[in-house]
Amino acid sequence: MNVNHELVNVKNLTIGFTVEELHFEAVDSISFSISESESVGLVGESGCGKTITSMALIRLLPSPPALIKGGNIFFHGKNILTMLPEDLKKIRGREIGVIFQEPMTSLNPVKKIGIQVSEPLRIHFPGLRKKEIYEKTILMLKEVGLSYPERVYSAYPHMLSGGMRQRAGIATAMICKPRLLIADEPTTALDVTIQAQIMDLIKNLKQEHNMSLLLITHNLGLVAEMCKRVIVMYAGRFAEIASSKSLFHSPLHPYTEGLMTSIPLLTDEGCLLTSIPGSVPHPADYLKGCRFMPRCIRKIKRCMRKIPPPLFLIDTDHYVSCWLYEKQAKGSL
Amino acid sequence: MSIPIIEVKKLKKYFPVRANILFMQKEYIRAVENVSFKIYPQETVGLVGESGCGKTTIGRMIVHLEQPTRGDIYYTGENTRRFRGKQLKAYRKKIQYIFQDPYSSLNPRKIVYNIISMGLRNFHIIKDNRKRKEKVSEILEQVGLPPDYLFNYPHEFSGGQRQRISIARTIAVKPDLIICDEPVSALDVSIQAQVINLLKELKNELYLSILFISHDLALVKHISDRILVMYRGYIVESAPSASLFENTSHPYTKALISAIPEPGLDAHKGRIILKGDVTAVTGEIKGCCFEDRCYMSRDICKREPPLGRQLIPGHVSYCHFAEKV
Ligand SMILES: Nc1ncnc2c1ncn2[C@@H]1O[C@H](COP(=O)(O)OP(=O)(O)OP(=O)(O)O)[C@@H](O)[C@H]1O
Ligand SMILES: Nc1ncnc2c1ncn2[C@@H]1O[C@H](COP(=O)(O)OP(=O)(O)OP(=O)(O)O)[C@@H](O)[C@H]1O
Ligand code: SF4
Ligand SMILES: [Mg+2]
Ligand SMILES: [Mg+2]
Repeated sequence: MNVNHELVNVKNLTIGFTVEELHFEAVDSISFSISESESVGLVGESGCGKTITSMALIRLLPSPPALIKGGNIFFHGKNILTMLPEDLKKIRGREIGVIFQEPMTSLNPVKKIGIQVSEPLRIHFPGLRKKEIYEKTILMLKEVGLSYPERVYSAYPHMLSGGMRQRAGIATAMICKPRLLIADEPTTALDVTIQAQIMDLIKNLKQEHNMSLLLITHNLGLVAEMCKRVIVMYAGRFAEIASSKSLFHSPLHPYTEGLMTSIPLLTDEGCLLTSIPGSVPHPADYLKGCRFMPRCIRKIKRCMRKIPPPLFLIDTDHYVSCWLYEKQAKGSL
Repeated sequence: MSIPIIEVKKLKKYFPVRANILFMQKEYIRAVENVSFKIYPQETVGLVGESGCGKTTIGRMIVHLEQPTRGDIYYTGENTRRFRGKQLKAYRKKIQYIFQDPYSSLNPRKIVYNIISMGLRNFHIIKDNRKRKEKVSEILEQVGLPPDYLFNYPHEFSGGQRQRISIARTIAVKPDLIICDEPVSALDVSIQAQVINLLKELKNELYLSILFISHDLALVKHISDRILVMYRGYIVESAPSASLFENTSHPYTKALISAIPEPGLDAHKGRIILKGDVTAVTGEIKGCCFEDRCYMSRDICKREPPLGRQLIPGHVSYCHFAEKV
């Protein structure tokens, strides 16, 4: 990672929804990039916009109701948003693999696992013979840690446990050795010991194939372990961007701070947890100014204004969107 | 020592199954196997284990929502199997259950006042209408909701607020024990702490016992005095909270602890990656329930079920090699 080759570049992306006359913007002018072989974590609470951000990257947003209202998304220098559908197809599943949030819904219940896992191969490598496809698929199933790959190949999704289904999902995403893997909550439905197995697997595959990773989760611990860089998202905007190290040693945003002290850790003593008051707003109620303000215990007068705090640069590669840091900022995004 | 509020002895629950699961075909899911434990007054006991290991089934058997296949449940020394009529009703009042899902556990057609006062009326705690209303407002305040919410419907609340209403409903009838089944797993991370803190406060104020069911070991550690670790229907380790972490004596517990990702902890240090997957058990297990995934197993583990061994007073491990873990 000595040369900083940019793989993904997102500029001012805004995603709107129209639901029964109600219009709201669930993602509001976000910008970020992912370099080759870099792993980036996207954390935030339910509904803050993680999944739709990642779906926009491969133009898989359900529209309607979703609509990209502004911004650009570049993958390897090519604009995803203006790309022809046939060019887009060449990227999906080939250059960008996705592990979807719900393995149950992303697998087709009436198709054999093997047929589904091998589908990207059949689409992107039409020259491959049947036998080659079968062998590559069995190998992939083995690689994701499924014992008895031949039996799994001819099984239907309902015959597998949650962990096995999740592995099958990873196999599908990885079978063409993509340059970027988007993993949307790849382990939320799974137990921690299985989660550890799967994370180990993703790490190994990533290293072997020099792949970039966008890991979406609400689990800060997982991000700390898997990612070099972390983006903390709150209510459709980025609250903080930093290296994992810097974020966990010195979280700046009051929301990030709150998150870290509200989660019980094994290393804690059993005192009361500090909780963040209030609750997460619906996108239709998002404020113009700082969206965390109503719940923030450190707010100052400036925070009440109807201007969103920009992402202030505080330290090398450490950005925070909070008015408290305006004076010490070395710049802003 | 005082008499336990609840004692379960050799509890078993087998569910008949018809469908065939991929690798095995037999007739019963052995959800709970020979589980015994006690909960003392004002004690919080954590029940932790992976999905499907039988936690909820144990909770449901305690409140008589499920009939044990074998084994008994004692309430302050009395076998609840024989409870009928009035006695059963009194028992049901004393042992309350809070469900995981704050969205479906509240009746959507009832206002908050009715939801909470129902218990007061049903159990003949307060008959006088005016007094009951005062009481309900008081309880609402106790769980941190303003009394103006009395006449709202559940759908008008957020997940965290709904869980507060569930808690209000259960404490209204003055229970001895609350069984909290994953009370925060459906909530946003930033809201979870609110509910956990509330439970801790109420426990001290109201002299409650709590059976806290969760798959999140860090959370269980945070709230519990004692922890029971379950695997595939069996309790594999039972210990005072601190001791479970300091003197871990079961390989499964050790793997579980090591698998929890935490910021600040060095991930690779001592992480134990298990092989295989947790599958529901339908056949009889001859040896140790963890044998097929265990990194310490030997021949004996296949043949003989490990008996409970107490290496430290109050700390029991069901592993043939407990002292070597
Ligand atoms: N199909 C849809 N119709 C209407 N609104 C939607 C739809 N999908 C997403 N949204 C809105 O967009 C917001 C962001 O959704 P998104 O799925 O990206 O959240 P998320 O951060 O992935 O949450 P989670 O952690 O629960 O998966 C939500 O608050 C929701 O209101
Ligand atoms: N009514 C039922 N009929 C058949 N099988 C059941 C029934 N209830 C539970 N089971 C099975 O018994 C086992 C234990 O289930 P239980 O719900 O107690 O697990 P749990 O530990 O609470 O899991 P989770 O963490 O996912 O809630 C599972 O294999 C489950 O499929
Ligand atoms: S900008 Fe103000 S209100 Fe928003 S997080 Fe920072 S201190 Fe809190
Ligand atoms: Mg999502
Ligand atoms: Mg359960």
